[in-house]
Amino acid sequence: MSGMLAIDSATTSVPAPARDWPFLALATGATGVFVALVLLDGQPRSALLILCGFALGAAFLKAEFGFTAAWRRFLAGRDSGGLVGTLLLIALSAVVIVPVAALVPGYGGAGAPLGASLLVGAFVFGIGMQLGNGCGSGTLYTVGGGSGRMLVTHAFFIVGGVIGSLQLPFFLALGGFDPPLASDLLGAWGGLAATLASIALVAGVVIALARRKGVNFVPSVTMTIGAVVIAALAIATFLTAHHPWSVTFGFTLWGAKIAAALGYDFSAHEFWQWPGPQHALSTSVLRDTTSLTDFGMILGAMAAAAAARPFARAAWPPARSLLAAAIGGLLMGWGARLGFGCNIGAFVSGVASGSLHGWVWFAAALGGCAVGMRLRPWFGLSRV
Amino acid sequence: MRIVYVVVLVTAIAAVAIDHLSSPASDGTGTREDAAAARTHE
Repeated sequence: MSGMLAIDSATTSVPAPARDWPFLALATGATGVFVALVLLDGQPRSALLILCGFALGAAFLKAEFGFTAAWRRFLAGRDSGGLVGTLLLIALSAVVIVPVAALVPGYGGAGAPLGASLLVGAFVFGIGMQLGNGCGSGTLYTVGGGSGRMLVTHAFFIVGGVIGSLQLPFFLALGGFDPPLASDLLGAWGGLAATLASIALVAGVVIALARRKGVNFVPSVTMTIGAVVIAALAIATFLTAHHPWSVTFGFTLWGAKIAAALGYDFSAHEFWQWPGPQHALSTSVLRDTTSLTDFGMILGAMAAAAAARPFARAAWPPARSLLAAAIGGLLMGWGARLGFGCNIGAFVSGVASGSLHGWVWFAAALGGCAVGMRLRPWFGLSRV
Repeated sequence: MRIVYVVVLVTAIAAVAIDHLSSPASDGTGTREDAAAARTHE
């Protein structure tokens, strides 16, 4: 009897998950405003990109899909489950991106030159990932999810991106070369086969390393479902934007727009005279395809978080952790500009386009993560 | 933290709307991240 009472008491004392209506309304309302603005501008594709980003943000949050902790687990103990989940996402995306980019006029893959800029940028980005506790997409969905620490990371990510944009021409001048996409060499289907073979090879290596150590190499069910859903949304983003999904140029653009509004003159800086960045800086931020999915991701994650629980109720982390967030954000922003993107724009989209730069970015960023893991305890963060 | 979020969000939404409404009408072309590699790719 007393046992039944205890059970009843325990059952009734657990509060039901409460929706946070004000933040749910704010997230959906802001999404509605942005969609309305681009539709009034005659840009239905832009509206679709906001909605793709919204769904991506919700999917990332629900699946808790991330790169930073997964890479840390691999480096610390060879647990490859997270890495294999990421490779599944890339392989599924490649099945559409490689042939469409090669065969359909108006579409293109993500390519970037191999050189010092890529290596330095990706390595520094990897250090920043471990200090900031997130990557480009991770920062977006955790900011949307209500993490005050990631707000700090994001703010400094933006600052770092602007600084990196001013220095990218110098690093590009150090030399490098443009590798062809796999489809340029082997045709659309041969390129796809080579891309999938390269993913299988890397998956085989990381699985072998995990098996040798007797640790997990199977992604969790949640992560597997997340990889499939995110791949479908990455493909939808690619088909809508006509180029693979990317994240960090948006951050750089936001920082430059803020600096320009405060009176900073970018006309003397080479990066901002290149056609793409110059066009982005001079027109609405809602015409930048990267910003559209970024806004959507933050708002989608916020809506998903607020629909499930009270939003942003946690206390602020200690000052040392916030310092790591600031340094990590700065390094990621700077590294993303020099390395032509983050885990999404450079690694996922690069490899899924059949571009060698994606694998080079991965190797360099993994090296940076190893360094970042050693620095984490300085800031009161766990090494693993 | 919730107040910080509200301030940041409302400011950001207003800034985006002002930026959008004060910019020239769309010419139908978007911009993209790998424009960062414009020197070598576009």
